Amino acid sequence: MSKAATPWLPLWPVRYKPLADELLSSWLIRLSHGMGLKVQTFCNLEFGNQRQVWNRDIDRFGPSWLIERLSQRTGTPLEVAHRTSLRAYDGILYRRFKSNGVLPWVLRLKMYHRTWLGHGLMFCPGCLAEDKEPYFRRRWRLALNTVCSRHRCMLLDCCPVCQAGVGFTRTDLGQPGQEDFMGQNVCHACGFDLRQAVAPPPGCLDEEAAAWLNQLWTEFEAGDFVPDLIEQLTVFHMICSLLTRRNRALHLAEYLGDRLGVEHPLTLQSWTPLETRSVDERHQLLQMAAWLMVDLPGRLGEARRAHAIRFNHLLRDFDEVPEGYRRIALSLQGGKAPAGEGFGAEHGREEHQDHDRLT
Amino acid sequence: MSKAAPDLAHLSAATREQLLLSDAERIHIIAAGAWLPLRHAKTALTKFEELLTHPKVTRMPCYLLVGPSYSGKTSILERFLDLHPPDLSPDQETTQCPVVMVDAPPQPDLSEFYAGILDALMAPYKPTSPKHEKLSQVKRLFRELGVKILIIDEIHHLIAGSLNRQREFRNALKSLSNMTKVSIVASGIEEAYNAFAADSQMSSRFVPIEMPRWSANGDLGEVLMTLERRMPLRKPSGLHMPGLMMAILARSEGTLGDICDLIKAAAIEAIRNGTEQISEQGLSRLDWVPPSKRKMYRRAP
Repeated sequence: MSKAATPWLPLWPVRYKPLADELLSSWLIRLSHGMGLKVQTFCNLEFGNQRQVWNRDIDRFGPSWLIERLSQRTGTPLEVAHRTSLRAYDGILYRRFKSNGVLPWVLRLKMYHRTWLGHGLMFCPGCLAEDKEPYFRRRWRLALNTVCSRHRCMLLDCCPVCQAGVGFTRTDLGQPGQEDFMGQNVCHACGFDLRQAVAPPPGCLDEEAAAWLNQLWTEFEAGDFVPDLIEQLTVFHMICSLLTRRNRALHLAEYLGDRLGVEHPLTLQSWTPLETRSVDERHQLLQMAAWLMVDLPGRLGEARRAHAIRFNHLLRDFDEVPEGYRRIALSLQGGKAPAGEGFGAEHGREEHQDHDRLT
Repeated sequence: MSKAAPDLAHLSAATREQLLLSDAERIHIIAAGAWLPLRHAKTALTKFEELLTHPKVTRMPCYLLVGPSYSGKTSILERFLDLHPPDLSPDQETTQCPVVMVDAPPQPDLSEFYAGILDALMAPYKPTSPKHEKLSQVKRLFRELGVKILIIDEIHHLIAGSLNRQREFRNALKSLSNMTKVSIVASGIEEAYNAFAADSQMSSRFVPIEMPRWSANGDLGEVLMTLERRMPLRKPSGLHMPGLMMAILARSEGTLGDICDLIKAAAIEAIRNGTEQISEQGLSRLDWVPPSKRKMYRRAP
């Protein structure tokens, strides 16, 4: 049976179209304020009390009922509306979407009811200052991004005055009788104008690693998601995961810290995944991982010889390992027989399981 | 068609073409009526047009269209609205809506008034929100949608409230115009004028435009000629001739709406009975109740 057609709905009198790389939540807030309504009131009127919007990470989930309605009511083509959510990165940043847990490269908001406890959204003060109407970009939700490629400064992930995470959806919540809406550039907690924040220049651990990262981000921003780029992102994320894992025999982060002259690697301060970390931690971690990526077979080999990593760490717990990476991992078996012909005793039972899974 | 051609000088070119239609279609056209470009209406429309291009000043000019019931006030306002429809193009970022028209609420209730404006703008709003929130939404939308003129019809509903409520409503109108720099065109019967005149600031701000009273003179003749040119009847009636004009004026009692209605009814009857023209006899035979007799109609023994 065919799906029932969406009933026709009239256009809204205010029907702003998404701005360049605008986030779904930012677009929705501009629309509701444009119509002179608070975001919660607007969403209750439009979607009813049964469909809650603001206690979910709508940018990550990109609910079709929400996107379709916005598309229809604003006269925006559906594909343009869809591109405002992070679901547009399905199959690019991650193989399969999942609604729970960490989604590779997507920063976590750590939502508790309608508050964001994490630092899952970044901003560039320069970009906000240049906007005619400040808005938040999709790329500011990605763990891969720590530097504003336009202003060559670090992105910020909290208010420099009160250290509260960016919660631009909350500027009009709990404000009864409010008549004028604050722009998205205002810190919801202390009212500081985020455009006035000072963003430091990005630190650099290694020129080569920085250039590699910059190249990767440039290719990603260009939007030409060729299979090579997708594979590179997958492998890069696997290496980042190796740096944040807790394992007795895994000392990759310490090793890289020594190699790159980092006295106290921020990476070591906790073992949380990349997507939950602050922008400074991620910046350091990405650079360390990028240093390995510059010459993955050679530098991983060195790390292995320095006992910073074992062969079994390279493939363990990773699903659908790209073929290029698998070849590199297998080549680091320590001169043992090629895949399918057995493993050294030092690898133990787990390595056999990895091997079985891969072959 | 060629047979009727010599007798068609009483019709406009467009109306002549309508003679080719069936009787039912011609009756439908007559009953539907059309905009009449009468002199007083054109004058009012010109004044309203000037409001559209008026620069934003501290005290925006406003008008009060005053006239008895059924004198054509709403038709003028609707005509102006039709001339300036909202731009609903989906490609635009906002609807561009230079003219908004609402009816005044049945009593001077500001919350209902603002809700009426939001309805006219097709904006979502919370019906239970307090009036100051609705006002701030109206202000925001006026700015976003480029509203220049707010038309309020039936403004005499204002008097259906206590003096305090009337004063509050008048002040709100004044503030709305001041804050948004939108010109207001209000329209109502003479009681509306009295209600506005009670407030010196309102009476000085709202310039009255009075609807004409019709009597047997050249102006009425002009109206009747215009009407005749637009009625697809095959034979000339000479509505502007003194005898027929006096008969029309007497039966319709001089209100423009009733004059039009009477002539429409007579024209429809002329098509039905095949006479194809309006005559004094036809008018006298018409089942038509003069406005002053309507309250008493059918009660007479």
